[in-house]
Amino acid sequence: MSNAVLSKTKYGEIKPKSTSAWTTFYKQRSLYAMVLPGMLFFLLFRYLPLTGSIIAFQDYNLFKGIMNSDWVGFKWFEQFFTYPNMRRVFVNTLIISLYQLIFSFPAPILLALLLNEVRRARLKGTVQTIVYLPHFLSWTIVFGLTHMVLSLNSGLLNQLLQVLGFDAINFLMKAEAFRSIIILSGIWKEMGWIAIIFLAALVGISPTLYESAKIDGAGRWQQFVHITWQGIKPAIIIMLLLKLGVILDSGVDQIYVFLNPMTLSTGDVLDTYTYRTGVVEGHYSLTTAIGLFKSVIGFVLLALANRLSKAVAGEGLY
Amino acid sequence: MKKNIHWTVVGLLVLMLILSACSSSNAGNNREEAGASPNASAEAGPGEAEPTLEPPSPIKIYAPDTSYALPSGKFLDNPTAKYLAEKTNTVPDVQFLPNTNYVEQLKLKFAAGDFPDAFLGFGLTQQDGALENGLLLPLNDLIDKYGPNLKKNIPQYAWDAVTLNGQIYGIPEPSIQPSARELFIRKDWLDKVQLGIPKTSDELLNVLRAFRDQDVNGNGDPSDEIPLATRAYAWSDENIWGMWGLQPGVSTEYEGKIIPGMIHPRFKEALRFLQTAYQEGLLDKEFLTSDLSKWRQKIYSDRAGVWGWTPEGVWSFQNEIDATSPNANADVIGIPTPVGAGFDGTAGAQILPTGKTYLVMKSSKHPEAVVQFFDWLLSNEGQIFSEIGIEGINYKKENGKIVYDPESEKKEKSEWRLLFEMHGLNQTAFEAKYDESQRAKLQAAYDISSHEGFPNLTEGMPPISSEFQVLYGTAYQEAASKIIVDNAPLDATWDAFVESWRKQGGDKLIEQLTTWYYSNKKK
Amino acid sequence: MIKQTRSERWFDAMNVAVLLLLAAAILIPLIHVLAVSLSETTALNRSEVKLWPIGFNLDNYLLVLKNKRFVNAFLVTLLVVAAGTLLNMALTTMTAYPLSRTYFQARRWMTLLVIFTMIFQAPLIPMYLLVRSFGLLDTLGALIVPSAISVFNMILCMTFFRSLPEELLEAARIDGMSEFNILLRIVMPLSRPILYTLLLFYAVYHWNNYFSSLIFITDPAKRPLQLYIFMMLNRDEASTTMSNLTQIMNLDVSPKGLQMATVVLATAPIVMIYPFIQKHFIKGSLIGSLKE
Repeated sequence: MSNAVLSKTKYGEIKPKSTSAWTTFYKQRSLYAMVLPGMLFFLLFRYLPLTGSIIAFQDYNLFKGIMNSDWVGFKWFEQFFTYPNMRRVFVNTLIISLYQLIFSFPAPILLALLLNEVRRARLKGTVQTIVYLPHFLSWTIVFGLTHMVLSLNSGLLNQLLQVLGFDAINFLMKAEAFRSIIILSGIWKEMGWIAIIFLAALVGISPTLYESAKIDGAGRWQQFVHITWQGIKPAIIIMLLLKLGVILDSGVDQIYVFLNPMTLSTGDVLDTYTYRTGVVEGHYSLTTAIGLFKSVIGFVLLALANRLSKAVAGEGLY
Repeated sequence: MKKNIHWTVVGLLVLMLILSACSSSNAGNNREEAGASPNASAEAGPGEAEPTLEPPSPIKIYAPDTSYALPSGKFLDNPTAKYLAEKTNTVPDVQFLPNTNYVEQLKLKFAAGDFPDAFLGFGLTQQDGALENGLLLPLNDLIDKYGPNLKKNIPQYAWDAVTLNGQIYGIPEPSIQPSARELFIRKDWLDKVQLGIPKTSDELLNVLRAFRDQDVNGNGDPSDEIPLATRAYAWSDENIWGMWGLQPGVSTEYEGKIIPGMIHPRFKEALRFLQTAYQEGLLDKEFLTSDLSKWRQKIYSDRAGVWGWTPEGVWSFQNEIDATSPNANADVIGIPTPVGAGFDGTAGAQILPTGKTYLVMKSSKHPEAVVQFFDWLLSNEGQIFSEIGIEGINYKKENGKIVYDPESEKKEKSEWRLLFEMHGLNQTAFEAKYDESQRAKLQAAYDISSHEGFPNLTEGMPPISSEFQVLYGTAYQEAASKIIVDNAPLDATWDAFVESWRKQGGDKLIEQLTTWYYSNKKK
Repeated sequence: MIKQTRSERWFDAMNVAVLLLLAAAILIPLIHVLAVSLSETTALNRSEVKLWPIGFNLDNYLLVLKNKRFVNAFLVTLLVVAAGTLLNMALTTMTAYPLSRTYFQARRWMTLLVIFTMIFQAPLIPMYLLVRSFGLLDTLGALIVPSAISVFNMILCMTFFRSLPEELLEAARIDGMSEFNILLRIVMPLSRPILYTLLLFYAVYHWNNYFSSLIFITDPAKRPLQLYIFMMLNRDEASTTMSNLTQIMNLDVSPKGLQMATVVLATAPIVMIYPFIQKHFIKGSLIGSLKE
C-alpha cells in the first residue's frame, strides 16, 4: 500500500480518499523514466552476473561451465570454516575492522572539521592539496616508505631510538605492532582523500546560518555544535552505514603487502586466506563462497544499523 | 532546450560506444581474414626436408608478453613474423596475453571457449586446467610423422618430463640449467678471509662467520656486511634447503611414501642451519621484510657475501655490482651447493628439466601444422632464428663470423621470438650473443647446475584441490620463522607443526601423492 | 567582527600547528618519492637518496615518455576518462535524484536493490563472460560501461540531493516545471560541491584503473596508461636486470626509480586540475544563499 504523498499540482492539493498504486506510478512517471537507464544498468551489469555466484555451491569447472559443473552444496563453506586457523583469521578480521571503525573512520572527519575551521583560504587549500596525495601511491610504495621508517637497521624511528639510548626494535616483524602499523599507514594514505567528501558536505552549509548565529551571540563552539555538526551528520551516518555493509573487507591489497610469517598471528585475515588458496582447482568457487559469506554478514549488519539509525537519528540509507 | 542537449550528449555517447565496439570487432575479423590468406610455401633447405602441407594452415597460439617489445598492429605485418610464417609454412596468429596474470587470462579464455591451437605453459600444467580436464592432445604420432628435428634435438629427459603413461602431452624446451637455482659467493671476499670454497654446510657457516667478523668490503666498518642475504623463503633461496636435498614443497620419498620436503626429518637440519645463522648474525636480520629491490640493493652495494638466483644470473649480478660499487673489484662466482651436515645424497636445487612447454589442445584443427611449426624451430636454422634472429635484421655475417646487434631487437620489434626458443644450448648463437668472459662465467654456472640437484617426484601431477593448498605455501613459514627468529626450541616446535600439519589433511595429501607417484611415474 | 576569545585563538593556533604537522608528515615522504624518481641508479642501489635527488637523472621519466606506446596509452586514458566520466555523471545524477525524493513510490526498494549490488559482488568469470557476450571484449566500451554507476558515489549524490530544501523544489513543481528540469536547473547548480566531488572521484577512478583493462583488453593499442605502467613495472620481477629495452636505449633506469617516476607521472595531471575543482570546496556562499 503506497504511502506516497502526491505532488502538488497546479490545481492545488488533491487528496483523494484512496490512491491506487498505478495512479501514483502514472503521476510519477517522469521520475521512473529518469531512473530507468540506471536500473537497467544495475540489472544487466550487476544482477545478471551476480547469478554466477551460484558457483559458490558448485565445484565450478570452467570448461564445463556453470550449467554442467557438479553441485557440492555447502562444501566450500565447510572447508573454510574447518580451516584450523580460521578462528584466528576471523578474530583478526574482526579486530582490524573494529580498529578501522574506531580510528580510521573518524580520522578524515576530524581532518575535514579542522580544515573547515581554518580562516586563511590559502593555508586551507594548500594543506588540503598535500594531504590527499598519498591516495595515489600504490601499497607497494607505501610499504617501502614504511620500511624506511621502521626497518631495523636503517629505519628513521630506530635511528631516533638509538640516539635516545634505546635498542633498535624490529617493528615490522613484531606481531603486536602489525595492526597499529596497518591502521596508521592506512590513515596516512587515505585520510586526505576521504576528507574530500566531508569537506563537500561542510561547504554546503549555508553561511547565513553562521551569520545569524553570530548575531545571536553564539561562540565558536556553539556554532560548531549547532551548525557544523548538524551539517556534517548526514554524511557521517551514510558513510558509516556504507562502511558497515562491507565491514569484513579488510583491505587485502594493503595487508598482503605488509604481512610476513612473523605477523601472521595478528594479521592473517579472511581476504589474505582467500588469496593464499591461490589459483587452484576450486579456487573460484571457494573465493565466491567466502565472498558470499562476507556479503551476507555485511548486509545484515547494514540492515540493522540502518534501522537503528533511522530510529535514533532520523537518517538512514533507505 | 537544455534537456535536448543533455539527451543528445548521452545519445552521442551511446553511439560512440557502439561504434567503438563495432569497429573493434571488425578489426578482429579483419585480422582473422587476413590470416587465412595463403602465404608463400616453405622452402625446404637441404637435409632438412619438411613435409609441406597445402595450403599453409592457420594456427593460433597464446603466449605471455613478458618483457619483450611486441609487434603492434597486425601480427603478420611484422617482418619477423612473416619470416617465421614462411619458414614453417603456417599462418601463425600469436596472441600475447599480459604476463602478470597470464594463467588467469588463459582461464578466462578457456571459460569463454576461446581455445587456441597451442599455448605456452611451464611443465604440463600451470594449474590452468587443460591437462586435468583432458583437453591436451597426445603428440606421439604427430611427432613421429612431422617432428624429426624435435626427436633429434630434444633430449630424452625433457620428453620424460612431459610424458604421462607413455603419452607425450607437450613440446618441451630442455633446460641447460637443470638444477634451477644456484648459490653465488663473493670470491674476492673468500680470498680476503683466506678460506676455500665451502663444500659442506659447516664450512659454509665458517665462511659466513669470517664474513661477519672481518671488514671484507673494506669500508672500515666490520659490522655492516650481510654474510648470507636471503629474502623470505623465496625461490631464489632454495639452495639452503637444497644442502640437504630437500625443498619445502617438492615431493621426496621417505619410508616408501611420497611426502613434501618440509615434512622430511632431514628438513630440521636445514632449519637448524638457518636458526644458527640468524642467531649468530650471519643471516640478514631483515630477511623477512626485504623485498626484491631492497635485497638487490644490499647485494649491489657490496654488502652481501652469499645469495642465490638462477645460474644464468651470475653475470648480471657481476655487472650490477661493478656498476654500483666499482671499487669493490667484486668477483661473483657460482658454487656447487655445499652438502648438508650428516647428509650423504645429492645436494642442489630442484631439477626443472624443462623451461617453457607448448601444449597443443585437442580442439585444434591443425595439430600437425603446430608440430611442424615447432619442428622447424628445433632445426639448426630455426634455433639460430629464435635465439639471435634474422640475418640482415638482427645480425650480419662479417668474415664468416656472426655479428649480433642487440639494438635491432627494439627497432625491429623482434625480440618476442625468444618465446619460441625451444632448444637448449646452440653454440653458434651462444658465441654470437655473449663475449668470452661472459661465456666463461655462464658456462661455469651451467656446469655446476648440470651436476647437482634432485627431481620433484610428482612432477606433472595435476594440481591438488584447494583444501590441500593451504598445506603448501606459507603453512610452514610461521613455524620456521619462530624457530629461526625467536630461537624457539627446534625439535619441539617443528614436531608440533608436523603433527598439526598431518591432522589438517597432511596425511590425506601424502596418500594422494604416494598413489599418484606409484601409478604414474614409477616405471 | 566578534572578537575572538582567548581559548578560541589558542584553538586556532593549535589547529594550524596540527594541520601543518600533518601536512609535513605527508609531504616529506612524498618528496622522497620525487627525489628517488630523479636519481641515478647507483645512488639508489646504495640507498643514499633521502630528500634530494643524487645524480639528477630524468631517464626514469624518459623511458616511460619516449616510448611511442606512452602517447597512445595516454590518449586512450584521456578518451576513457572523458567518455566514462560523462556517462558516470549523467547516469548517477539521473538515478540519484528520484531516489532522493521521499515521495517517490519506488524509493525504498530501488535504493535497497542498488545497495545490495554494492555488497554482493559478482565473481570474475561470469562478469567476463557477460562483457564478452555484449561484444565489448577488447573494446574501450569494456572500460566504461560495466562501471557506469558506482553505488557509493550514487549514494553520496542521493544523500546530498536529499538535503536540499523540499519547499524550493515544490515551488518549481507548482510552476509546472518537469522533474527533469528541476534536476537540471535547480538541483544540480545547488549541488556543486558534491557534483565536483563525484566528478573528481569518477575521473580519478578511470585514470587509475588498470584492473578492467588487465582483464578485458588484449590489443596492445587499446591499453590505457595505468596498464601500460603496471606492465612496465611488473616485468622487472621476471628478469635479472632491467629488460634489454633499457640497456638498448642507454637509459639509466632502476626499478625503484621507475616505480616512483610512474607514480609521479600518473598523479601529476590530477594535481594540476585539482585547484580548479578545489575552489568549489572553499566558496560556499553562493550556494548557501541560494538555498535560503
